[in-house]
Amino acid sequence: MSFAVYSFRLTFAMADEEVVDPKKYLEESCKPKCVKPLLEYQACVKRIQGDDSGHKHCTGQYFDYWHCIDKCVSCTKAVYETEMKKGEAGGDYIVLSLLHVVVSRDV
Amino acid sequence: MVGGGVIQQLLRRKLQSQSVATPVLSWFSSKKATEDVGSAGVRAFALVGAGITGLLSFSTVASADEAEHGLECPNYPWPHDGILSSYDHASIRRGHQVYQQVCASCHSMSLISYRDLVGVAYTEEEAKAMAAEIEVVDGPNDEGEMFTRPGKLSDRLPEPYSNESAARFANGGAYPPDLSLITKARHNGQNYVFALLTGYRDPPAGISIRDGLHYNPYFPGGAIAMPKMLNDEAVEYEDGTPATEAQMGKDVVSFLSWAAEPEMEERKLMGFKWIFLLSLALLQAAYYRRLKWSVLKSRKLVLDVVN
Repeated sequence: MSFAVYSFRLTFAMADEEVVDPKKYLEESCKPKCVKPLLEYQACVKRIQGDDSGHKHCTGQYFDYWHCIDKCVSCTKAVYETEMKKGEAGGDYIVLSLLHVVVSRDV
Repeated sequence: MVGGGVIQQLLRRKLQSQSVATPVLSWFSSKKATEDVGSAGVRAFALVGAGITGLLSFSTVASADEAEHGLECPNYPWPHDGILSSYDHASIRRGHQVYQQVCASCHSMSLISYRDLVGVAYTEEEAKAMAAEIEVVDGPNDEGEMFTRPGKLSDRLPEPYSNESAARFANGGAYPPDLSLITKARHNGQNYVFALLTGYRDPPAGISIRDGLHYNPYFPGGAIAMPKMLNDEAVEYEDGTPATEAQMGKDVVSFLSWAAEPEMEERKLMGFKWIFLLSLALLQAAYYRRLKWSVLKSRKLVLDVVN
């Protein structure tokens, strides 16, 4: 499973200080696919804004949105590639993937 | 909706029989007859009203179930998922490092010994060195006193608290569970643990979590006592892998999966071997059965009609 650095090789070779968390990156890139539940959630937030009773909440819409994002992230093709690179050795590449499918990500 | 029709009929008959101006008074006067048509209609109305309020209260209870069960965790393609796939042992090694540095301060893994790690994640010398770093209380000596000694391969992984009460006291009443079997002890354990560890988010609008608890949508109920522990670069991996949150989550779950099911690789090999052999045996058995039965199945019966 690919949660080594999901970043393009070029940037990784240059910047060994700054790491990009692959899951956050994938969640961001999945946002456009889940606009509808996001809008539902935002509409709910607006609806309950004036509420003081403390009983109203948007858990349902929140769950729907995050379920959509989770599904998208776990199905992204990038998740099927694993690579481990030794930054300090500068050039040693160990490819550890049992399903090594080199495909271009489609977002 | 037969009941509705019946009620309407009852009311119409009631209005017809009595004057419109004082339907209530006449209802009271006719109260003596309990089987009277009017009171039956009012009773029916009361029942329908009670039913509606019951349904409404059910719906509010049902919507609380979502947070109660927690957000459903997605299924990730773990490298050790396939029918002949082994664990990623480098990942197990990194995961043990994460456990040691991040999790071991609160969570015990009392079913794993240092010797279990030999050949899986560490060499014997490395494991011995790791064990020697801890202090273990050992049995009475010749003078009858307990003494401490450096750890050996045969010792279990150290426990952060001496008992459950101490653990609860140190963690605001919550008990950090032992992690030796956690991926088997939770539904869809591997994916659940990964989703939980990497899933700390802001709560939805309208939900507030009290002090001391944290919001996690995957945790049943949503309020978990454990704070977010995996942060980018929290651990510096020995092998140089960048320690992102997702990387650490993946590695620690690989380690926990191994800890819960160390026999997995041997089991898969055995399973593959025996399913293959038994399939051959099945073919042989089928052939042999058909061979023996062919005598009966190929017989012919001739009817001789005697005149």
